[in-house]
Amino acid sequence: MPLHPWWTTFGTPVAAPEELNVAAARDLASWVAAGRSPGIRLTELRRDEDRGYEAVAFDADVDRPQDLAFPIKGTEPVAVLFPIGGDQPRVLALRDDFPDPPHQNWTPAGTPSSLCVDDRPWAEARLTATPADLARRIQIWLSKAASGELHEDARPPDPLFFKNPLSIVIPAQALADSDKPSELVGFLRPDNANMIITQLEPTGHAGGPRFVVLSFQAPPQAMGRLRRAPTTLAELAVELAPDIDLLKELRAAITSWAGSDNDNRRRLSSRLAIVVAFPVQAGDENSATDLRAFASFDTAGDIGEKLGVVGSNTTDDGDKGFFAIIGADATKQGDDVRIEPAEAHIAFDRKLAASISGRPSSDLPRVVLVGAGAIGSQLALDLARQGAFSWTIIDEDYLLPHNLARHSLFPWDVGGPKASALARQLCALLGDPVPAANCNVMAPTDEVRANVEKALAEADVILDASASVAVSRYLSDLDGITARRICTFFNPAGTAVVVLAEGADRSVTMRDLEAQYHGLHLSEPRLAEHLKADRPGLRYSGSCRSLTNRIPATRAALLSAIAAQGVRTALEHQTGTIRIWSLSDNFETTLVERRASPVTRIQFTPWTITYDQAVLDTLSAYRNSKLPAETGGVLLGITDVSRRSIHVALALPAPEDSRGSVQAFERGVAGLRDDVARAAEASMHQLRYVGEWHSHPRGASPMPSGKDLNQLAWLRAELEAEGLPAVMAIAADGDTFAFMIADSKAPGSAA
Amino acid sequence: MTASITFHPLGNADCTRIDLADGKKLLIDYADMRNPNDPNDKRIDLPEELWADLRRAKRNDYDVVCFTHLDDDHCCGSGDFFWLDHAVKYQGEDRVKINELWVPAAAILEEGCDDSARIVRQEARHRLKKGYGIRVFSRPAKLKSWLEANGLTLESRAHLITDAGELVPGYSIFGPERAEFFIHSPFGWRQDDNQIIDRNQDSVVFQVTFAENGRQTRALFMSDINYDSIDQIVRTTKRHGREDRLLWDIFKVPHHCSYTAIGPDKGDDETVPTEHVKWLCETQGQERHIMMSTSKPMPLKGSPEDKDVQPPHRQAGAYYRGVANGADGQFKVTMDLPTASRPKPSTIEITDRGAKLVFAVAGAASIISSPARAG
Repeated sequence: MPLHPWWTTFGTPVAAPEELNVAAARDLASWVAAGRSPGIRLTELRRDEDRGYEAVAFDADVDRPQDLAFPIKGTEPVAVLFPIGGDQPRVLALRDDFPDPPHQNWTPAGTPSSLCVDDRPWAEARLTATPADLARRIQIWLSKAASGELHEDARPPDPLFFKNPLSIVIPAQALADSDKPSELVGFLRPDNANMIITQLEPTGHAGGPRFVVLSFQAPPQAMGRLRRAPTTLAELAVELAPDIDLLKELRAAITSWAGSDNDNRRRLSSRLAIVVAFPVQAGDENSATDLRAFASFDTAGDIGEKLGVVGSNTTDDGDKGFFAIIGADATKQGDDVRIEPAEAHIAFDRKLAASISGRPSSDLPRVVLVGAGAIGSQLALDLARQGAFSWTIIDEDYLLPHNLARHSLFPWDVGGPKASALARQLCALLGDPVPAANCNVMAPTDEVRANVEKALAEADVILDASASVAVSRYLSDLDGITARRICTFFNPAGTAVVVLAEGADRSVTMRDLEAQYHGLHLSEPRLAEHLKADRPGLRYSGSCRSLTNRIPATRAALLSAIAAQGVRTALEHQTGTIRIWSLSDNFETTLVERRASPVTRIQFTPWTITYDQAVLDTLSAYRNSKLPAETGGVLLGITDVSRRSIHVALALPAPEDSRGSVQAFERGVAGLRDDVARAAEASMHQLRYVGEWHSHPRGASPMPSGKDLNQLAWLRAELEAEGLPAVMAIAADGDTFAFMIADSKAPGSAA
Repeated sequence: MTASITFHPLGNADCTRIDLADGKKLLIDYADMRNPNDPNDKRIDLPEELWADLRRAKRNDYDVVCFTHLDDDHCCGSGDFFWLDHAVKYQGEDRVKINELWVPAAAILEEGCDDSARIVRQEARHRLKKGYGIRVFSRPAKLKSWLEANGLTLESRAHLITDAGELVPGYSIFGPERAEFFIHSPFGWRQDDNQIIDRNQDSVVFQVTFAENGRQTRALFMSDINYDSIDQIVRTTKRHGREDRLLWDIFKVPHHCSYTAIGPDKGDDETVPTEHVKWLCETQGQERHIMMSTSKPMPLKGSPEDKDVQPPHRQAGAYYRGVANGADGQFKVTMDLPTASRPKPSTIEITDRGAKLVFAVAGAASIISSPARAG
């Protein structure tokens, strides 16, 4: 069977395996010559000093099905080319009319197909590379090609033909559907001469040699992929015709650049790069894009001359100047304009972020992040790297040196507002504008107030990472704003992260969740140490409030990442949730989660008292455990005098010296002061005593007895000293309850 | 834990609890004066208050109950509150036990007492006869004839008797309790001369010294003695060169702020102290001390209370207030704390920076320290 003509140009024959210089080539040749791989027969050995390769050619028998996907022969001539420097060998199919199955490296026209038999990086593959393995991989590749089991992926230029292929990074916006090619500014990175970075606008970036980049969009399914890598502009133009008239487009563009202003001089003195986006059908979605890029070695002006659309002269200062020529010479087809393929990368943006993270790219709730501290900055960047959310950032702080220990921002932002620095990062990752307000969300300055109010009003989610109870409550209370509130924070010791998420209907608000969170960590044994801060804070400046916790960045980063996922998980469900992840000393993670407990809110003007089902369940359980006798204890909760609200968070059981009978109950005192103090301390003094509860015996209603009312009056008189009303709860048959409140100004009660 | 002294608002009556660093509880006097049928009576429900404290501590006894003397305003209601060994009718689970009873000699020797005084006397006599759980403050010889009349010898009971000028055995500022009690009264030479026992003058007067981290804090418990008893105590103490035993940071004002504890004449606006009272108050009181009058609020000038012969006397209060001002200290009245409308027990904490009067708690802290009754 006729071999590919290119092969006949490849160096000179080598007589015997032992005369090869490259050890791997020698090993393979000896192995095959000895007939040790079944179905592989050595045919030829060659060395090409100019190209720098030694080649081992053999015939390989192929296992084929009857119905061929690609016309692979029963025996295929193959050559393995070993670089003399010892790099990864290339595998070429030597048959003249070898078909074009997928999974090949990209080679120029007039060269053999280059089979991609090993996806692994060479540094890794060489550790296990043996002649037998290589031979087997080639046979398997051919067999799969025959069966149609090979799949397409982007073809990297084969280094056999493209020594140092360029890479080019292109913003996704440049690939938007358009009749006209998009023009980009590119430059070679000074620290990586093979990398062209492109931008939509010239930014005066201090880059290396410049490029002017034209990006073309091919019509969907207009053509098959480029089979061979074109090496001249003329070849490329032939490949793209008739859907894209490349030469016409280039002539028009270069003619339009033939002016003397700075932009045009820049363009014509830059090398030309061409990017073509081919939509690829993938399943039902016309979503993937096969991106091909080519870089010229000539400047755009020189190419214009070679295409006969501009002429050149030498300007006074020695630069080359170009002028348009009317009536282009159509015989000039760019045969003499050399190009080489470049590996194209789409710049990072939301879509790429989402697809790499395996996430839908349509996950775009509008999120207002309040608090760009350690947890806020890290989780925002984590989520942005997944392409998540449309962001607005609100934070009033400026980045200080000690923040860097845990923050996602870097030293060059020290002194600047955290909000705008983080917004810049998010914008850079997502390619979206990210508004930032450098203000206290509770008291925005006049300049930003309208923006803050608008952002909050339009938000789908208000994500509070401020680590401030006041902010959390403020956000919870904002009237007329439907956004779900989600609050996330570390515990003081930095050993746990909490995500409190309202349900979509907001029937349980963040204020309610705050109370339920305290009720949970005080009653759940796994959270016994949750709010214990055992390490003293570290003073970071002379001010008495300048204390920062000693939490290592490893923990902060891990917990922030968990919080980021916790936020997404919360948003995937309609119900409100409390989730607490705790890290052990050896970084094992324990999750405690609860659904938000439905709340009942009772208005005793001016006070509002709120309690949840979990509290009622506790009361019923305590009552049942003591029946037929009565029992009782104290109620702990959160009081907010400014809002006149009381959230009952937790009911404590009867102290051990309590006395309960069928008729009456006397709540004891043994250990109670310690228990209440412990609860207060364990809740960072959010929880306090709010009142009493007791049970009524079987058959009795939850309505208060005379004795109960006396107790309520006593509680009221005592609590008046603290400016608080007294709360009393009674649990009775059939899970019925009465909650009473007694204020020195407005006594009231309700069942 | 550190020591504390808790005064109870009982009108002109005494009950003071001393909590020592090792958890020991001492009750100095017990007078439940409140009239439960009078809703306007602002005096505290003493048994309830004391019970709540004991329940918090999960116990039902005191290490020491000291009756400084047997006037009603120092022992009223004892027969209803304490478990008394001398008669079964004073025993029951709802009663508080006394590990050691402290009384002056008069509480053994006095004849013809009524009510509570008699009950305490019977208990004291019972324990002294049995030889346990009792400490009598007296010149030992004073008790000799009584002991012999009961078929006992002085020698057999000497270890239960502490004379003035001595420390109460078993207490040391170097022990876990970090406190010691120095007895000033009753003192022997005076009792020898007495034909008629004057209860107040035979009161137990002592200095308690607390040690907290090297800082010593001293409290003088002055019972109900009058100025000439104070004069005698001062003279005697000086004679023995023990002026340090009359130093004080806390001064339990004698006799519910009666002028008779300061000088012979009440005065129009301020009682003039005797030389020795003046020395005791103005020289021996330490910087920023606390003087506590276990009494009703000071009467206003010209008010009906002001005309009452009973203490507290406005003029005495004026003197003490001046003493307090001179030392940057405080003069407080139990029935005024924290407010005259709702008095509550007041606690002085003994810290390593000395005595600190803690505002009486109201609100949640008070509620959870008290039992709550529901039907």
